[in-house]
Amino acid sequence: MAERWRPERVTALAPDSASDVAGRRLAIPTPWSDIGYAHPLLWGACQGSGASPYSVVVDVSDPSYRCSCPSRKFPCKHVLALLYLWAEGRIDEGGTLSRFAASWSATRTAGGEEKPPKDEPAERTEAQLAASAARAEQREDRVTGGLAELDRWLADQVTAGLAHTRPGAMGDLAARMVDAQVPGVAGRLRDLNRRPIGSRTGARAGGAWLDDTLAEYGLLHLLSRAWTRTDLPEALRATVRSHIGFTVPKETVLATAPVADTWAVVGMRDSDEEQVSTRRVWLYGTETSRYALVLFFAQRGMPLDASLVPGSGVTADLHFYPGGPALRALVGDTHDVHQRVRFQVDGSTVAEAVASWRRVLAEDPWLGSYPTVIRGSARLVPSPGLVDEVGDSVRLAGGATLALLALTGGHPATVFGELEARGFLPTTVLTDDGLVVL
Amino acid sequence: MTFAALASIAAVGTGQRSSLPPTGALSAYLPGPDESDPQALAYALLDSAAALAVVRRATPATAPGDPVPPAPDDSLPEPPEHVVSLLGPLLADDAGAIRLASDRAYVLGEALGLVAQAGMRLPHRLLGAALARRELRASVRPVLGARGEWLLAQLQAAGLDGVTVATAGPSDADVWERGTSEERLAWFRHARTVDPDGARAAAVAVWKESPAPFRTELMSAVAVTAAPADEAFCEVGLDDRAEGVRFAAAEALSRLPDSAYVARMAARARASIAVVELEPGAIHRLLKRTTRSLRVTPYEPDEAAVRDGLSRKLSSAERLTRLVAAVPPSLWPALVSATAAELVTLHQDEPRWELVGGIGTATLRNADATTANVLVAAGVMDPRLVPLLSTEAVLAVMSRVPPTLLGTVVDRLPSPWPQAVATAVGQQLVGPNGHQVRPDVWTLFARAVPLRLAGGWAQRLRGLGQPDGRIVRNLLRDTTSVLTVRALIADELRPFLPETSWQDTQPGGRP
Repeated sequence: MAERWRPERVTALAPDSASDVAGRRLAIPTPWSDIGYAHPLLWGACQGSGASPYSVVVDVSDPSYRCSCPSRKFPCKHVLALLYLWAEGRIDEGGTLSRFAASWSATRTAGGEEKPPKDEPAERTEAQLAASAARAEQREDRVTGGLAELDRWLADQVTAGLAHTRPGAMGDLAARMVDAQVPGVAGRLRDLNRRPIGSRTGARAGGAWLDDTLAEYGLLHLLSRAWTRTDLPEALRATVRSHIGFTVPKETVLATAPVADTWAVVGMRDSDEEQVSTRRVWLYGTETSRYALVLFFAQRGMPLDASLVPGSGVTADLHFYPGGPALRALVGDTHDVHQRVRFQVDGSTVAEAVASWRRVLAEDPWLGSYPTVIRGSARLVPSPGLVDEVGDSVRLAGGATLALLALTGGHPATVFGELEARGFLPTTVLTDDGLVVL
Repeated sequence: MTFAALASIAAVGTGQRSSLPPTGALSAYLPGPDESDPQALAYALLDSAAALAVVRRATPATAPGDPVPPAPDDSLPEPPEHVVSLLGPLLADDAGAIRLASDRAYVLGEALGLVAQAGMRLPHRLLGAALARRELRASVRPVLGARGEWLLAQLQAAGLDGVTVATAGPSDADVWERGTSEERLAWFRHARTVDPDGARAAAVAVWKESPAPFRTELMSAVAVTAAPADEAFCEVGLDDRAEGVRFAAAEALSRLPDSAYVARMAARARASIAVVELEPGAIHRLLKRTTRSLRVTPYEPDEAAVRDGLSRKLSSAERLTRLVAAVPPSLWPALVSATAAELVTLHQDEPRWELVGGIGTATLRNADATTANVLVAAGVMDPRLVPLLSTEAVLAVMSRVPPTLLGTVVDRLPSPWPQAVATAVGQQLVGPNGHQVRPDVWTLFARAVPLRLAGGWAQRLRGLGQPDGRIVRNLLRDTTSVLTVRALIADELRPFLPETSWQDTQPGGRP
């Protein structure tokens, strides 16, 4: 029998918070009947608003699922509720396999055999290759034009004064950057456009907005200038291209040398932008001590990949994207999945963590944060911070500070998180039982 | 040049300047200005901004200061994992299994109480959510454990957890000295329950300089917990210039059966109300009717009576109600040779409904359960008396009221209800006239069913399937969810609970 999921993994599977809430509301025995589990199938019937109950079936190994309800959410609240019940240990092995589950399983098995292998690159003709090269050249021209426009716009803004920034101006420019096929820059501009503009009068007009805006303008200017440089080292050039928004084909990444390890999931953050949801998952190699960032994307309202949940682990080959520092990676062959991964790590001191962060920034000045593990004692007084054994401290930021204090009680602990200008954002704590999510 | 200085220049714009301040050591890494470019200054500023932005990012904020001692070890055990998995969403106030926030708050309060009774504490991972909700502090405090108390102390020391109404206690002298009016009143109400004399002394010390609304609230708080030692203080309150204080003082004194105030009011009642013997006629003998009759003389107040609250501005009916309400029911036999119940049933020269209201109020003030039950048996239908009634009397009242008024009766019953009452209410809800019952009775029922019956009722409600009507379906679903979660938590904790907290001594039926 496979390891039972933890509730966090079910939460990660929800397409949105509303579905998650609805799923948990149904995760009580009240509406359920004919529940059962025989690995890997989990099934049940949920009484909804209709006359007959909805039939639900989940293959927890894949995972894949089916529900007879008419919801357009995928997975729907009934699937999530059934998974919550199972994850909370309320469904044991046993039960009579429902006809719905048996039928779905049989259909799926039959259909699965006919599926083409994943990630098989299609063969392309010479004409197609030539057309592709022409499109790539055309895009580079557009990017060059777009970034030149960006740099002029930035200079105009600084000349006229940021106090005169027109609300929505960055949004307009972001749209032009999309046309110029510079999505990375467009995203940064949209982020900036969402920040509230503070008071624009007085000696320190704008406060945090002004500081953040100028810093981002400086980094965009740096990116624009870096694009025009032909003498950049290859790794830095790849980094610049990635921040501009050039993608590297998946097959190219998978063709790089794999890094095999048991990777612990030490952090996860979801964000939504217009029509796309993004999940950023930080991994830590328990043998190699390397960090990796795996990104998952999904259309808004659709579920994000939930195979990597904080606290869990995966023994797998990771393939890193080009550019430095080598952080972003794809998961290649997976050899084992661990609901909970136990490992030892000597956490850094604050000084060591900051030194690593600085080395990384020297390679990639556009990086917003960097994963690290610090051994220290959390405290709230006189200010929220993590203090290491030599007495150096870093400010605790983010929403998990109280949870970290509750979990560690001010005792020394090995804490994973992200280091950035605001301080340290804790995500997980390493205990004898493995990682605990904050 | 610092980043802040650069930002100040950028805010105004380089168009107003001819040069930038020197960037210091950083200038070695920055490109030189292109003199031919009219916007050279702007680009130079952007170059500097880029470099300083990276420096800024590379210097994470620190948290200077001395570390505090870590938390002591916890000695209490954690609840079973299933209970923890249910407590988590409740503490986070996630809709989860229970849709209504008020239901979640009720179930959480009950669950925390059970965890405390079981001698357990919250797991460390739930402490953050538990302490983030200040309104729960009173019910969370007993299950915080050593780690939670340490964390709470940290929050308070950091100024992130102001002294709240729930945490204010008699030792928090600061609250009484410096708190807001609301905090001071909360302190006072709490202090009255644990140290009534000390609290009264605190009120006396600030009485003269306190505004009328504050004095009224203080006296009202005294009225709720009045004891013989408060009599002198309340007598002074009768002379207060604020009408609210005078009213509350009279209320307080009327709760003290041996007070001089009650004696004065009893003397007035004796002068105003009399039971007279009638000459029995043939019709009386034939119908076996009583020959006693109640005679009420309108009371005309003198100055002393006005001081005691029988104002001349009141109608005679209102004065009679106040007068009767101030007389403990147990005194009536000595005053008029008739019990309180007889007073409301005796023949009257004209109907005196205010007499019934006044006797009901007196019964409540004196928590006179005997009189309450007798009054109900005599046909008095005063919902205020319900909390004083025996289970049998409550059932009798319920049987007399139509389904539409069931809520008026049961919403005054303390939770949990006696088993027989819960069964009767449940049968009304699922019976043919269930649709006539007020929707809030479903909510009351879900919360007030004794824990050991909750699972059974959840099962029975589930068996009803999907009745017609969206509102009824929602009520049924919400009620079933609350009952289910209550039962799940109670069943898990039952092995650890003292038998007394589980057993209901009330006789009754089954779902």
